[in-house]
Amino acid sequence: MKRAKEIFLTITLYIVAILAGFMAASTVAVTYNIGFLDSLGILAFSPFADLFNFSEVLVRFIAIYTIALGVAIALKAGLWNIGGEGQFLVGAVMTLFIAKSLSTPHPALTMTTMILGAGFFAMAWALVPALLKARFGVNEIVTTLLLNIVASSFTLYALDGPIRGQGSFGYLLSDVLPSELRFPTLLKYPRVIETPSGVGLVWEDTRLSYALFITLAMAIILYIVVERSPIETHLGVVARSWRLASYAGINVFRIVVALMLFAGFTAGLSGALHIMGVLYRLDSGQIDHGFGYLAVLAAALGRAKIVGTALASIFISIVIIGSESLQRVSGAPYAITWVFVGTVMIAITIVEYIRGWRPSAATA
Amino acid sequence: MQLPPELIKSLELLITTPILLVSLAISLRILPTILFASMGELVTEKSGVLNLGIEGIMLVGAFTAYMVTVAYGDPLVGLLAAILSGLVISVFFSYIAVVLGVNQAAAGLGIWLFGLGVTGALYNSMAPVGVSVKTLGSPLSVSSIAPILGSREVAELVVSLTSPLVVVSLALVPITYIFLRKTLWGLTVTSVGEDPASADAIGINVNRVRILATIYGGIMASIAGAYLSISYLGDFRHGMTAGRGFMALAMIYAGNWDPVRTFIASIALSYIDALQLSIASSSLELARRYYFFNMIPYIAVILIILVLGRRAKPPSALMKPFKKP
Repeated sequence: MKRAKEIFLTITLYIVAILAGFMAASTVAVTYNIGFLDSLGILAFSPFADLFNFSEVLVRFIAIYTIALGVAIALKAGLWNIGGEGQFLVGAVMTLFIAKSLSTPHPALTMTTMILGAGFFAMAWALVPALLKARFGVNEIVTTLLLNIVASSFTLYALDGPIRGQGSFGYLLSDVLPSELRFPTLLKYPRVIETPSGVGLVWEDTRLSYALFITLAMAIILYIVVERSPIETHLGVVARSWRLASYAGINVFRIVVALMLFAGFTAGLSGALHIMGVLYRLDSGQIDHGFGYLAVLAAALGRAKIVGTALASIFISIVIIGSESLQRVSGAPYAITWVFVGTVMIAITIVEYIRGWRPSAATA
Repeated sequence: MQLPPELIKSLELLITTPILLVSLAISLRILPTILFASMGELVTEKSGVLNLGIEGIMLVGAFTAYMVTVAYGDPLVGLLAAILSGLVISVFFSYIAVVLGVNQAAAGLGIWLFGLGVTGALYNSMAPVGVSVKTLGSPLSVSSIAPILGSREVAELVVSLTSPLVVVSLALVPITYIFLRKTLWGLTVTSVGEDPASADAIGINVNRVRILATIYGGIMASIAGAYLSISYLGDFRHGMTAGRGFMALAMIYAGNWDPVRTFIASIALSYIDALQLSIASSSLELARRYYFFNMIPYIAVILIILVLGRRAKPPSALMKPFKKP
């Protein structure tokens, strides 16, 4: 009975936190001459308007959750990888670079190389913050964030050079990925069209691909390896105090580096999956994709748990689609999404305070 | 190993033009943003609070200063409005971070994203398009003093140095140093950040000191933002702080929580940034490689930390909320 009451309280508090975010975003939307309740309605219901919109929710889910898995595992040890934003981009760049420069006997071999290459390159991208944190205790939030800005410039530089598309005519965009190097589409949606002979139904491709299963498989493996084993406890000790952890015989240096690198890997992987399953090309418009920061919110909202983070990622994807509809209707920029994300982020710290759960940031 | 052509070209430029001197003038204009933010945040961190939201406070400060200056025509009023915005946000942040004791990293990130979103969205809907405002600049102008000084580069340097906010930001370095090292208040702040329990035992109100230090840091961050919009550029752009707040945080690391060392690291960073800007803008051919040069200051920050911040030791109670036993 007491436990049921506690769960009810938790859910209520989380709903209040999310409502606070909705309210903040809708308040800002008022300056775009759209009614407060109208924008609340669009935010809440447009993601479920049709099958296509819902498939887009899942497309965002793959991108966010793949990054968030790495963020969540690192967060268990009190490490905040804010670098997913940039690691995603460099992973995407590497994917296209390999696709352009490598030829193997079989497409499946090339695709595997692309995925792993992206993951390892993003891992290398995370190496410096990882070492600085593990060796000198330099705040990983600051270093990974600064590397995000480097990653944006690096991506633009790559689009202007190594992965520049043929006939891009001065625009910053890459070549389109050849069809044998793409993930097959998972879902089609019906669309009514009018033909001279009457009304017909066509099935069109959504952007949802089989990449979904890679993400889900990784989540299941991580669930078994990390959350069903003593590793979880070890990470919790590291989160509490590095000194305590080393007294307990845990190699803190190795764990911290491994977690930061792993977080880089999943973010790079997400970039590869997004290119191979959704976009098929990269252009300068993708620089501000925002998945890295949304993944941090997902991991925080999901309390660094694999399942919790999955639910949070789904929820955030729904909000993103809602806010994209709101942007189309009102003409507001993408920035309005950050109003929501920022407000929820602040609100959940307060919720966690009320709940008495306070993951301290790892300190040297 | 072959050097990239843009690197060779820029090295040639360095030798053949007075670009080093020009960059010094530019770096003096870049420096105040980082100095205001880092000197303010330094006091906050010394008291044991990490405010990651200064980037967001800077954006809100820049936006508020710009909008109010557009409305009233006086950059001083804009500056005051920015200070007020910094005050409001940091009072809120200090309440949740110090009094409630929530996770400072998450709350700070939230404030950053909120600031990023709110200024971007409101700028699009409310701000007039392409209006440059009267700036809070130097009373001198390059064209009037260049003939007297004999050189355009020197004149630019003098004009940069006499801009009021630049002067204030440079003055902040000795002020922060003396405050932290030589005054009782400064020692109180340090003691609260190092050993809150002992500070409490000798009758210091730990949380009050932390709240005041956080508010001070927030106000400085908002001035840093206002400097960007109403003194440096005379305009606002979405995300215009471009990570300067996070750079300021990194400079505190590099400077090992010492005002003078933080200042030295900040100078090095702004000089590299300015050099990069003036090289990239020195010829069209190089300007095409803008993205290549734009990476340099951010990589420089990480190198500066590697070189200077290796033995850095944060205040012992940084990010640890204090509850009176």
